[in-house]
Amino acid sequence: MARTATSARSSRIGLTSTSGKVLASVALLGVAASVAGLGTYGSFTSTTSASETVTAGTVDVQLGAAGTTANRLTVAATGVIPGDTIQRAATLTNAGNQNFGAVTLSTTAVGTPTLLTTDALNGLQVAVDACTVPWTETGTAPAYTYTCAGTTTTVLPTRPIIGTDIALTNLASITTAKADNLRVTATLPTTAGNTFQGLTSTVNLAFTATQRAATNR
Amino acid sequence: MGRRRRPRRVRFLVRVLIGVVLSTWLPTAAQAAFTDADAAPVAVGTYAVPAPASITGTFSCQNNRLSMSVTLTDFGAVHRATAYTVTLTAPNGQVTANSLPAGTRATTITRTSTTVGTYTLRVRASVGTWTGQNLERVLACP
Repeated sequence: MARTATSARSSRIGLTSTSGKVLASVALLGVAASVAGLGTYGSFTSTTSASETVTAGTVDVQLGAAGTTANRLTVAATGVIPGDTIQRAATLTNAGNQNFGAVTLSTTAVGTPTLLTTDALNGLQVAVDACTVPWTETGTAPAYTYTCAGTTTTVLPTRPIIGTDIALTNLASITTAKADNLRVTATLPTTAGNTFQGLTSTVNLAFTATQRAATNR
Repeated sequence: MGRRRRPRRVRFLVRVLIGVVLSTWLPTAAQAAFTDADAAPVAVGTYAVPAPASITGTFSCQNNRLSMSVTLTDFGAVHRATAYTVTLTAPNGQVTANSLPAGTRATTITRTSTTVGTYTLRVRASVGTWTGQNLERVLACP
């Protein structure tokens, strides 16, 4: 009796055995696929669509063409002595299709730095102002001077020439398609001593515009 | 026979590492914005005050070569000079100096000495607080 019962148990496939589990899984998948198929073919369907075009805005700040009255920054100044000022005009334009949130100025020394750029107190100082109309240029290169027939506003008060992300204020070019008539003035203080003689420095002036604050569009 | 679990300390360190990476990356992503820049170089060169290019004048010795007088009638003008300084140094090192305004390039300078030897005449320009190189002449009494 005992041997017969054992034989009967071994011929059945139970859910606890591996084979049983495999078979049960296959069966379950089959049923599910069948039901899903029936559901797909048995439903009414309807589809509609719409397209939405999203165009990213552009942030584009531009200086005037180098060497022209729209950008005299690249005209080198030589023979500078303490108390001298170097005036250069440049046009800054918002050429993108979005307002700017801010415009900053970052200045870096190109090549080997000298006292002109490393001495924050006695080295070169810079200031930027804007005129509501284009500056009137007088003098011959490189000794340009500028007068404003409109209204002058301070964009950057006098400060050491080297700096990073310096905030600029009172700019019309914050608004798209607007431009600023800038005058950049560099000064060698009268306190610059004998050690400043015969030095040459190039400073890269980078104007960086950042997008306006995000809004609903 | 369950899976081997990593030690609790390893799991803790992994979580800390993930947290640090996320805290570094997430603010960067949150602050992304459209920007644009344009730049231009500004070159500035300072003046180096040169020495006067030339000098014209005469000199004479007195008191058995223990004194010299130099009369300058002209010397080369220096661009942007605000003043000139003429010095005469005796053999014993004592110095006499004459300061001249920018528009004057003639003077007479005298220096006595306790020893006999050569005298040194120097002329230099000043531009504000900057002083230039010397034009130097060594003078020996005949």
